Amino acid sequence: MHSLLARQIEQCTDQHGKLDQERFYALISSAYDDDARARHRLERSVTLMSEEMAELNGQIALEARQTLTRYILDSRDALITLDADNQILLMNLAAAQAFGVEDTRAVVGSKIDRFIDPTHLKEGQVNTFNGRHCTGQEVPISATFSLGTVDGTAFRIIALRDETERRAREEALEIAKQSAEHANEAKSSFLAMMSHELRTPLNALLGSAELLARTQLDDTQANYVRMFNEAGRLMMAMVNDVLDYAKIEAGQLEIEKQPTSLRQLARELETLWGPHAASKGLYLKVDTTRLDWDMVFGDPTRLRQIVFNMVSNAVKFTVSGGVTIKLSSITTGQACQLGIEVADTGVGIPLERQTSIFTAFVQADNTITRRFGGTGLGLAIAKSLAQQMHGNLTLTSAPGKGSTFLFEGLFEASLAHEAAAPEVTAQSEIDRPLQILAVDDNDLNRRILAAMLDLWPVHTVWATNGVEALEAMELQAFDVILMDVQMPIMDGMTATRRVREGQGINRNTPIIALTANARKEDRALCMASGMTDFVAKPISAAALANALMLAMQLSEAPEHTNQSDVA
Amino acid sequence: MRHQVLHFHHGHWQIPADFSPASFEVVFAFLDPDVARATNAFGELKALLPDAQVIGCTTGGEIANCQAYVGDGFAALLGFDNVTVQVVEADIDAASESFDIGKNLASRFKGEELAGVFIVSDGARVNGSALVEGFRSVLGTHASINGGLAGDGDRFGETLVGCSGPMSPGKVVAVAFFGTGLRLRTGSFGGWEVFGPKRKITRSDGNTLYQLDNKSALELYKRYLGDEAEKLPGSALFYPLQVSNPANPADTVVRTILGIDEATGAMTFAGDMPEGWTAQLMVGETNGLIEGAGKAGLAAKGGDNHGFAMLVSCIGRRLLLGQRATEEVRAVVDALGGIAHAGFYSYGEISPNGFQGTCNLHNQTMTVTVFEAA
Repeated sequence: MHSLLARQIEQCTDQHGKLDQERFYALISSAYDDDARARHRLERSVTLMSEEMAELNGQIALEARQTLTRYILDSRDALITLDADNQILLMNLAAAQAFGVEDTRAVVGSKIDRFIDPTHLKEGQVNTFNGRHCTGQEVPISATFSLGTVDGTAFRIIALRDETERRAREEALEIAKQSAEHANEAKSSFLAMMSHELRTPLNALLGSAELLARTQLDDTQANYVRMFNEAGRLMMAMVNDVLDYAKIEAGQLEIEKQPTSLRQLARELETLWGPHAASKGLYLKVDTTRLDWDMVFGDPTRLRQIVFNMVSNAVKFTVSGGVTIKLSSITTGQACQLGIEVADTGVGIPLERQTSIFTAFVQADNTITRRFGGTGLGLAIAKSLAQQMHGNLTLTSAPGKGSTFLFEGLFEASLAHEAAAPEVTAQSEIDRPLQILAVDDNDLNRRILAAMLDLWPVHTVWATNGVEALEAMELQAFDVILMDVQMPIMDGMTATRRVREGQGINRNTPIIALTANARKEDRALCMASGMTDFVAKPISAAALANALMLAMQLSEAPEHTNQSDVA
Repeated sequence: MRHQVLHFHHGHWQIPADFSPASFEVVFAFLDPDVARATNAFGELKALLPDAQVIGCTTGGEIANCQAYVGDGFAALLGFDNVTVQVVEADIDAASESFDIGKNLASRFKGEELAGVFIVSDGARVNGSALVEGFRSVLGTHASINGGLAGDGDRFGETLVGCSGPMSPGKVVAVAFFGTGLRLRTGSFGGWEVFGPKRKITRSDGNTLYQLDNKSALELYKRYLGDEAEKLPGSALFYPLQVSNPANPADTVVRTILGIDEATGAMTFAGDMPEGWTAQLMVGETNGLIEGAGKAGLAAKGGDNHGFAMLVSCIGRRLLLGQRATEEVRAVVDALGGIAHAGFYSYGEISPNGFQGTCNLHNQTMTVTVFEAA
């Protein structure tokens, strides 16, 4: 029995167990009324709540639509909304401008196809395509495309950007970039050409000066010749710097990898710069105690260029005291971390200039250019070279306290012993008469070479190109042939190949290349053609003598395969 | 402790043979408003217990004998050991005085080891939440403050409270229990469910509400009440409001209507309705309310069933439950293991909040206070 019914019976039953029916029915009736009212109340609550919720939903949806519409119309970005059938619902002013639409209301309800091909619109990515302007012209456009719903109605929103201006800007930029690149290439090739053109007369000047110095001169004359020589060498160094810098800028400068002796580098520093420092009253110390390795794979010419630049600067800018060069290395497995420190007691460099001196065409003090000379390219080149050697060139200095330049580079350690290259002795005298064939197309060079050769008891036959040289070689046997590389009619390498391939009397004669192209590749090409040695222009009498001496030793040996390192 | 419940029946208090008036120190009488006015029930009770402090109030229904009554009168007689009882009373003219009256009454208490307070207050002129806040301002946040606001059936007219003098409107009585011999346990639970949109109180003044979401609150109630709108303000109890401060939305209180003013559209609630707070309509359903009452009983349950439970339930619950109001009384008494009890349907319940322990005015709850010898 329901607890309520039980209680109603209990309430209506007297102590004798008699049920007061009238009261009982009234209670039951009232309970039914209560329940009916409660049910009615709950039903009404649910109905009213649903109504209220529907009203609120309608209000929220209306607000959402109004907010979205306001946002789209007020936005400065070009926006278009579409319905599910790609019909335009809204187009704001920015979008209208992109397509040349004057009255945005007029396009509402029309298909987007008249402006944009809807197949271009892919959700979740930036779509780039051409739209159609009212005039029929194509408009470059980038657009994003999103799907959404408001109040259960699907809509699509296109956010687009007119790319006409950007495309024009990009094209102009590309043209500007190309023309800058052309200009840069033109500059580089002009510099290279100028350098080459300058070198030829310079070679002649320096050669003449050297020859002049070997004649009988009084003190004043000797002094003039020395000044002449110094100026010429400085000019040559500048030309080389400019050429190197042009190559670095063009990304054409390559670092070679060949066995290089660090101890030999140290000895060269001492030999070449020691006397120079001493002549200025300066000491020059070279410390190799912290060098734990000797042979590395590196570019000896470029390494020398870096260190010579450092030492040259140190000697140049120091007036008292001296220069200390410390070479150190830490070799782990095959990696050799090399450090070369050049410390001077010179003028020092103020902090604010310490970065800019590594920039091309800058020196610590502009007046220095006038006092000490130089292009201002040396350090920039050295730093670039160091960086190409996986290292750097850095400076610590303070005015009045000297400067310390530190070169660091990472090299591959070589297991080879120090090159057992034939020792180039300072033997400057040729002690037996030599038959020499000298080949050069340049009259000035021929005259200088002739003057140098006059220093020794030699007999020289002259040729001005490869063909003439071959003709001469057919006529007599020579002890040594000096061969220019670049010549009209037939170049030196072709002539060398011909004579080596033939069965003539000079097929085994040592041939020394004379060239201004001092690169390793050039030398390798010369050797590959069958030449036995290589002397770089400008030719010095000492280098020529050494090469001749070596050639004489070689001509006594059965094969001419050795290569010396005279360059 | 000692306790007995007397029934006012056929114009007289029914006295058992072994009745010993000297055993009791404090008496709470819960009288139907018509009974209180038409008979001398309160005076007779005082004569019957000359040495006890007798406190009486009119109700919206009475609770005793595991039943909910209408049109009856009951008295709960309590006697303690090692407990000192102090009764203070004050008169109130307007709801705006509520806080000060509460503060004044609480500051008149003198004793050590306050076990708890039981307040019986006028239900028509008082802002219940402000009154409790007044007490709290003196006794501290965690003092056990309990009780209820007197009722006037479902008419929402004048309510009567009496103590030293005869029962009269505008009176607040508070009983303090001092000593270590007594412990008060409380439980309070509604069982109503919120429904529909959350609304913002956009115009109010103290415990008077005018507008929700810038629309007339009275119109909203009329819409929901339909044909029951004729029975306003009583019928408004079917839709209490849950209100909360938006800064602390988890801390909710339920507010019930005490009166309306058709001319100004004002609705007076039993507690504060601050502007900016969130309000949401609630709806009750018999099973939910009965279950809620059981939870209140469980929350107040002590170690044994030898104590005495004072049940203060809301008039709104009785109106909605109708004849099934008795079932919520049974749910409480069953949860408390058949404990001795009495109580009334009130216009506002006072008890510590179950979770926070902070005393407050509640509406639409079943609030149980168990007096237990410690």
